[in-house]
Amino acid sequence: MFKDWIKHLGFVVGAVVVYFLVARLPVETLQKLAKPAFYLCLLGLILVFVPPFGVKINDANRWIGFYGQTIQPAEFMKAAIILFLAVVLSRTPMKYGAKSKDLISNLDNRVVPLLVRAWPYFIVCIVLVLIEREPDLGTALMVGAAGFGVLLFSHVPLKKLILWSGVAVLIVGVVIVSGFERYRFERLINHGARWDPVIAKDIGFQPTHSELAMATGGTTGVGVGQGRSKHIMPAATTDFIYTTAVEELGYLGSVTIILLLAAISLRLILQAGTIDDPFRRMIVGAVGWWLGVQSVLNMLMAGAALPTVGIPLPFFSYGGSSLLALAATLGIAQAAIRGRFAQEERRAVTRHRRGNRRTRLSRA
Amino acid sequence: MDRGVNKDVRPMDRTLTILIGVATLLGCIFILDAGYPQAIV
Repeated sequence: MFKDWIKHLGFVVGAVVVYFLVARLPVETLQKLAKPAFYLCLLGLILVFVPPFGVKINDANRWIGFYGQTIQPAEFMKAAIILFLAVVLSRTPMKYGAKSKDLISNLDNRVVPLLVRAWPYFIVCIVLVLIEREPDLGTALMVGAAGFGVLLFSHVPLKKLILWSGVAVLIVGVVIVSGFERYRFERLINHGARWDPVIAKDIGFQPTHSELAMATGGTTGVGVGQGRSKHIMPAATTDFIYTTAVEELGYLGSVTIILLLAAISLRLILQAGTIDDPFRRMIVGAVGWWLGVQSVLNMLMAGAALPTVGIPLPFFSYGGSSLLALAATLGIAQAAIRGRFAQEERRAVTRHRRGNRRTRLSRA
Repeated sequence: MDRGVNKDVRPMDRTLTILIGVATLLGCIFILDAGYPQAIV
């Protein structure tokens, strides 16, 4: 009866181990692991399409079979992309040379540096396309949000960020409207009319029932265990777990969950603001940003303010890969925060020594 | 020699760890509640 829940508890134990192990890693090790981890996840994203390795569930190629278990590489890509982009952006970029009339010289001074600077972003685009083609637009958006978080805490000028964000939003819009996956477009255009009796029984089923359940909760909820939506919602333990929480604990419960997730996200973002080292700052800030964005989008989706997209609620939604990846990501953030203390300790010791030396010199 | 710098005693952000622990625990309860409606009545 409790088989899946026991399995989840097993993943929680695994997640705790992963969190504390990763949190103990020196920052230098994170830098060394960044690229291998990213390419390993990229390999995983390719393998989900290769039949002996990839496992197809509900017409989606999102998993790799592994000794009877399934792993979702896209979930781990959220942590990998943060590490990868933080390493790329913390290194000094190849500078452009002066323009010249000579073709070869222009190739060396202008084109090669451009390619060297652009290739990581090109690979990131491939990653996003692979995840979108699984098809899993929700995870692709979250991986993109994690990558954007790194850029947000980097030295990249705000103007460039706004420009490229606009381009990204445009591309996402085209992907949805293009009809690659017809259901996405239908969900979008029919979202406003989700209460129509025909639509409410079909693609409007989840948002309408979720909205209704949350409204039923009122101020204090219908009581723990008394919710009705969990009996009929197909994703009650995953993408729509927030619905059950709000239905049973009401407005007060929802505010508590929002405050808890906001505290974790803001704590990370505020920590990032105190870190001088760009690599560490980008990691801590990006993790906080990503957690915040994913939580907000899931809650908006559960409240039917947004069309249904498969985005889990961090810490709450059921899913082994998602939980282990979350633990690894938070462990990486902790490792980056711990690095800050070591840096400060070294500075304090150096200051102390210099202070002693100066005192001795002045006496002499 | 870096005397006074002990890499093993660098502190983690305990507040963050506690918040993460509370969120994970709440998650477990809600998964049990939503996944097994008859378990919590």
